[in-house]
Amino acid sequence: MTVFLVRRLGFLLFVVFGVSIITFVISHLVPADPVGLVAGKEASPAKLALIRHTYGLDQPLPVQYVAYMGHLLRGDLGLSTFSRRPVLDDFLDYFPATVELTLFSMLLCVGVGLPLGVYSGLQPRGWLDHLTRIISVAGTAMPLFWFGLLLQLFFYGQLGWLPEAGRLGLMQAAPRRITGLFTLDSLLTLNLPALGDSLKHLVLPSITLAISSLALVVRVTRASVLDVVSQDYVRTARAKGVPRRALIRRHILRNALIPTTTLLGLQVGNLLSGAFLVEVVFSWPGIGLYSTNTIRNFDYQAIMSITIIVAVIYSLVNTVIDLVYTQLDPRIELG
Amino acid sequence: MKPIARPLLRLVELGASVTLAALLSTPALQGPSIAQARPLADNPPLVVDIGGEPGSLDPQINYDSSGFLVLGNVYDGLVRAVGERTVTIVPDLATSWTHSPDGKTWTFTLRSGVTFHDGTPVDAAAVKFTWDRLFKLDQGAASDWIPAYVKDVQAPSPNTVVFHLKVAWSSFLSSLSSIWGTGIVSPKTVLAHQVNGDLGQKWLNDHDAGSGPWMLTQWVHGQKIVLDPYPKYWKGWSGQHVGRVIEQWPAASSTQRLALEHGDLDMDLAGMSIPDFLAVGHDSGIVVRRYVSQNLNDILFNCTHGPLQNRLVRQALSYSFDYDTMIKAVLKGQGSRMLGIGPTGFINFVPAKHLYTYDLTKAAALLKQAGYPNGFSLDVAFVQGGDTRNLEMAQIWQADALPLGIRMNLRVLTQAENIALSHSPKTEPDVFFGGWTMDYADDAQWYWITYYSKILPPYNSNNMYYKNSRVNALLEQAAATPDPAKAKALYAQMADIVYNDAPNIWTYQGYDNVALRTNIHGYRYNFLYTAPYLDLYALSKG
Repeated sequence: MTVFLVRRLGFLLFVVFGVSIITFVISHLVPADPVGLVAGKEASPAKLALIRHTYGLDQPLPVQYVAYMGHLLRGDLGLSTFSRRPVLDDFLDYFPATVELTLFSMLLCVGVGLPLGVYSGLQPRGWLDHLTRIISVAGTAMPLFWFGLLLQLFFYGQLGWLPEAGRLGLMQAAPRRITGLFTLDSLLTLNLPALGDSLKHLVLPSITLAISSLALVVRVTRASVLDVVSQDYVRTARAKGVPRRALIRRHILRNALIPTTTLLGLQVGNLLSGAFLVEVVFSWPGIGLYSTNTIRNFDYQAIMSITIIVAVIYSLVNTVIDLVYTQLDPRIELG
Repeated sequence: MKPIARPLLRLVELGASVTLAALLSTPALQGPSIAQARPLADNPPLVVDIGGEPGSLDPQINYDSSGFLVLGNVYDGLVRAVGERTVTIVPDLATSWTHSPDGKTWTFTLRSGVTFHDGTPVDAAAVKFTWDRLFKLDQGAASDWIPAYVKDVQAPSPNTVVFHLKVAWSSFLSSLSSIWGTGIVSPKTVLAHQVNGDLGQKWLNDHDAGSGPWMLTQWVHGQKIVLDPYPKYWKGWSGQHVGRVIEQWPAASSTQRLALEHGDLDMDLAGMSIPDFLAVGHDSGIVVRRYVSQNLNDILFNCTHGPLQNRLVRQALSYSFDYDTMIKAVLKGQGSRMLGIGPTGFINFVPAKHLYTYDLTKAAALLKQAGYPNGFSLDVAFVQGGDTRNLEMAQIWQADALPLGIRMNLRVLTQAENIALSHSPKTEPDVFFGGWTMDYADDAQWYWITYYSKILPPYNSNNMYYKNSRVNALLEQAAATPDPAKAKALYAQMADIVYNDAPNIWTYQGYDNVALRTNIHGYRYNFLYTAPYLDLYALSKG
């Protein structure tokens, strides 16, 4: 285990280095001038020089890269050329919204997708199985932004049941910040109005974000359960008179969940990247919306930092998933 | 195995019901909101879409139109520009002004009894402090033009401010009408929040030190900006006003449209797409108003490249552009032809003596005269914004120019790429689509940054690398002439020469659309500040 973790952390450093090099090279190869965007079109030579110096852009590229990585290791992500704030401050403002949205979408995948998949696998060709299969095919096929717009039109535009966009209603004050996750902070501060409002605002974007992952979870779980149910050891257990509930828990699910767990791990990355589109449709002030603005303004320090952070998160999640495998199936050894 | 597997199984059993139950929150959870703590609480709030989140809201630094609403309503300037179609400069903090015969000394008398939001008086010392801060920070747009002409600012008495200019500048008063850079800040608030001699720069990014009718009370990054009325505003609060202003910037046009239709958004200031503006105009509770904007659009030639060095070739290209079709088919009528080298509506607009028209016969004759009867190839670049206007225009123009033997290779750029390429005539594309919105109420700004060739990119916007010594001389004379009539005559001479030289094609002056719900009253479009600006003090709801 320790060797595995050390090896994976080493791999993580390699990933960070690789991503930082690629992002840095690409962002500096593009013939673009972020200083021109900041300074305006009539800036004097002295003013342009001052801005270049402020952002370290007057240094040779290798020096810029080493300086950037040095600052990064000290937790300094640089200064945003657009917001004029430290990128870390911006990140801490926006990232919790994405985490919250991703968590709720994952909760939907697990809480809805798994039971549906299991039920379909145990009761194949039933009406719920057919419905589930239709939903899972549709969920995989539908473009996220289109599905989001449909939900907005129906639940906000037609029925008026749910809010259209944002994390909170305009008249609702945000809960006192502890984690930045409004639902959690509302609970911790016992702010029930904020909790209710933030949950309402989460419904449509998290369903939109979750839909394609949920469809995959349903399909993979159903296929796994169908496969495991036909195995000899399940038939033997059934013949020995193991109660149905215990049979499902101990013999079917434990084995059927391994591929689903793999899938869930991979879906964290998909959800994070899918959040970019969903956040734009629902004006969800997360890292996706922030990144869209940084790219539009060629805010390259912010672009680099966000890319590296997302890569690190993705690598860490996959490491955790590898650890979970060993818990689910003792035959799997960490290499 | 057990520690992981058991919770997973429990999740399977409980997941769906718990998750969905949590998501579908009940009305019982609704409770009191911050609206109850609102000052002037009985007046309804105004919710407005401003098109995008601003960058810094420091009045001496901000240079993006998303900041207009805050800067124009939280801060006062010495003067302001008003007018829907033509612009007039009117008093704001200054009640009157005079200038010396040579135009180098301007004296402003300040309004008395005005206070900043921190309670301190707005006096000449504060005005001087603001301008000194602008010079020292040297960051915002106004720092590009003010320091070039202004030598110093003096405060000889509490209500008198004197500007000493380096040279007479006919655009000086107009330049003070800009929202960018000119908002007067409270020295007390700024210095109280100064860190390492930054003149309060970090703090003022998202706080307020102004004296305007509205106070910046909340900015939740990525979500909303809240403005509340300043109870001691010098005009007072009698009459009808909104009680609070909430600014939003939903990213998707469809989101804005739905919110407007639903009544959750009161106004949309040019944030929606044209089709959405046209569609909501049919709704009974919404009115869409269309205004001629000062936003000018053009197509620029790199005057240093091959055939484009020849004036006759540039004129031929000007005759190959189908102006009317572009406005009708591509813009769907959302624009009108440019009638000169600058937009109509400002003090120094000069109408062209003749307009280039769509005339391929004339274009072919000019090409033959220039020695290019069989045409040539051109690299045509444009920045693709949120719509496909430039692409569609380029494609139509490409088809029209082909019979002339002109082969156009179309290229899409990002704005940052566009700026980088424009820094050298070698990297600048042959032809590129551009646009400009005046920062202050004078076409002269456009004339200077675009046609003056003693300063070249990246230090101005003469991206055509157009050079004409006579134009330079006329621009210098006009700028240094204190008499506005004489200055305009000189600008007119300059404009005639430029129009004949055709360094760019002046295509269209765009329209601004503003959608508002019918219960919003008091809205007036401002030609200089364009759609992203609102005079919030004049608005009421009900």
